[in-house]
Amino acid sequence: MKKSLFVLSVLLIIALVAACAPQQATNTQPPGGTEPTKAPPASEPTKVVEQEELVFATVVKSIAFNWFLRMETGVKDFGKDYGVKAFMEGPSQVDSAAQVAIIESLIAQGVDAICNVPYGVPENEPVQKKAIDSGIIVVGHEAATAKEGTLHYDVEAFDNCSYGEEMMKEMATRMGEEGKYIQFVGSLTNASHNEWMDCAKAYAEKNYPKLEFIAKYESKEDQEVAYNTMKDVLKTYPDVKGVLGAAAGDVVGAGRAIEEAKLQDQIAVVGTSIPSYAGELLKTGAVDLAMAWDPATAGYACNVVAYKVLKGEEITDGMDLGVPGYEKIKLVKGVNGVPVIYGAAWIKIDANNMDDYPF
Amino acid sequence: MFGRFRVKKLIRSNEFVIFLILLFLSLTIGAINPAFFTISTLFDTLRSSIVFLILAYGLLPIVIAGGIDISFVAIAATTSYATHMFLLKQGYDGGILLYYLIAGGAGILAGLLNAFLVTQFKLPIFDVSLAMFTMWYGFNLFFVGATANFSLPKGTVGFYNIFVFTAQDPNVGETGLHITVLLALGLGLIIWWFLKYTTLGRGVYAIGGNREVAVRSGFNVRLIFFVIFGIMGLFSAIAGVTQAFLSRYFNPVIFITQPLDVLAAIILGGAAITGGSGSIIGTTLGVLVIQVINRALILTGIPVEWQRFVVGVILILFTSIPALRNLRAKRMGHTSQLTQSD
Repeated sequence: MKKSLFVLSVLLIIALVAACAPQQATNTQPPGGTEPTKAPPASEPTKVVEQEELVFATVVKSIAFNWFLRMETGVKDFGKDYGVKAFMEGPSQVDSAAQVAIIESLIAQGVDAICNVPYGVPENEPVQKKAIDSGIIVVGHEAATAKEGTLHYDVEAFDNCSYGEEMMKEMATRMGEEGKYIQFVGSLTNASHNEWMDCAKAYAEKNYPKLEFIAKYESKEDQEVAYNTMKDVLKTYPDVKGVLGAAAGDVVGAGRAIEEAKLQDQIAVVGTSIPSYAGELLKTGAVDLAMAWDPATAGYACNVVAYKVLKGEEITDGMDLGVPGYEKIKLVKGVNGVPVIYGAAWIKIDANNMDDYPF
Repeated sequence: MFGRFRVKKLIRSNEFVIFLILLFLSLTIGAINPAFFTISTLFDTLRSSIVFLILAYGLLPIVIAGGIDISFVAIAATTSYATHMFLLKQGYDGGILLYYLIAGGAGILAGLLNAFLVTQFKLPIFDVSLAMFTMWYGFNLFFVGATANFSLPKGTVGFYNIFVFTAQDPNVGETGLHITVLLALGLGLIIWWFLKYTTLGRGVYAIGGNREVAVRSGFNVRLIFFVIFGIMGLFSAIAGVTQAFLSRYFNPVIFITQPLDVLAAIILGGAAITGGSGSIIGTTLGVLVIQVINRALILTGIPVEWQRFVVGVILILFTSIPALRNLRAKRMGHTSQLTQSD
């Protein structure tokens, strides 16, 4: 009895570990993981601006990811273009406590604005509020669920539904708007992935009556799973014509199976990915189009919003931030009260332009 | 008389029951979707089994000795990924062998570290492995790198397409039986020989049966632990490198969700989680059953939302068949025969 209790508790622990693990995994796959949803309140446009150089800090989840190193180039470009001292900081490992400590020290230094990409949205709220209370402009990114009063604005590359619809349009065009298609999500519990795919499906039902949906498969954020699944799909549904992928590795795994079957010209493969993942397959055409958002422009746009708020400019629905993808922003009140700015800042990467996106 | 006894023994063995399960599963799937009965499906299933077979073979001796380890997946990830990043920095352009050598050496060291902690401080195997699981993945992400790497050395390009046999399939094109299936087979034979014909190997069963008795019968328990953890580390590293070259990229968190799949396969194959029993053939069949179940869900069109639930139900049903038989046999006094089968 004792022994079986021990075994049972051991299994429970393993299950817990396994349940926690995939979160870690998503951190290594930039476009698969995080995509935000809603947002926050405007507070009063701010204080008098001194003549001396403005200081804008961008704080990210961790500086250890290529994703955020790419964002840093956007932050630096903003600094140059606007004549502002702009820099990026972040913990060496994703850790909300370390991130909060960095913001505390920025408050102490008296920076003019902070663009924060919080690892844990709720964990960062108190320190963001503290920064706002001490007169600093605070704009969030990937923090659309933040509570009212903890951010001036939140900036998102796009809203999930439009992104999914855009994917569908690209795939449908390549399929001649008819035929069977399948979808991949990293996991059935990933909110963003499922929102993209469900919106894509709904859009197809309305606009492409000749498209036939087969199934939504789970890749478990593992391109090997996507590869094996795609092989079996080809056997079970030999007439499949389209594939949509949500996690960065989905189209890579599916693309490999399609390439080995020499079907790259018969099947349209469109999905979230980046050149460092899908590069080879984009070249051979096994993956037709990779979609992503560029962290550099997101970092740039986040700082522009902070700049405008600091200068007392009003942010309005439909305005042009002067950043690619943010020419006609959508302004919405987020689920927890923070005003959220949505761009349409997806990028489309194929064999021709992949060298422009070295990440 | 003697011949009949052997047949009876075979039919009573766990391996035979699992084989029947595999047969039953295959026939059911094939009845729903005839595409299952193609050479290419066979090759695909074997291909996706290769790495899990290697991992399971490496872990099996530890399970037989009564231990549960989950750190083997982390060792596989760290040794393969770190070896790759190291060689990449050196501008290495050669073949795959050096990968196996470096990663394998590192894997053995990592395994020995587990053994040292377990024997020196008398720590439970599972506790040590849980710590190592977290530590090695963390080490990989923090010190080595956090993003998947797709640049393979020139000498290894094309490795993923070296086949023993190939078959043409009308729908998925050419499918091959990948050469690493021989690697898995060879490693399986080594463990089979080790468990059956070496004193150390017999000692593994003895420890799992009753550690105190094993010590008193003169088995060097410390040495045995160092050997089986060394094997585990080595096999994990081989599996990590093999997987990376099969899927053409190195992933710092590879296998992170899969230690349970491997354990489940071993237990499905007739090993007791409390130690003392388990076999190579059973483990092999266990891995195949799990792979076939995974494929079944797509081939038979079971909705994905149901997949996990269905896998769980199938596992409960099928693990309980051998367990029930064991229970009945125990009542009838056949235990020794069943637990010693290899």
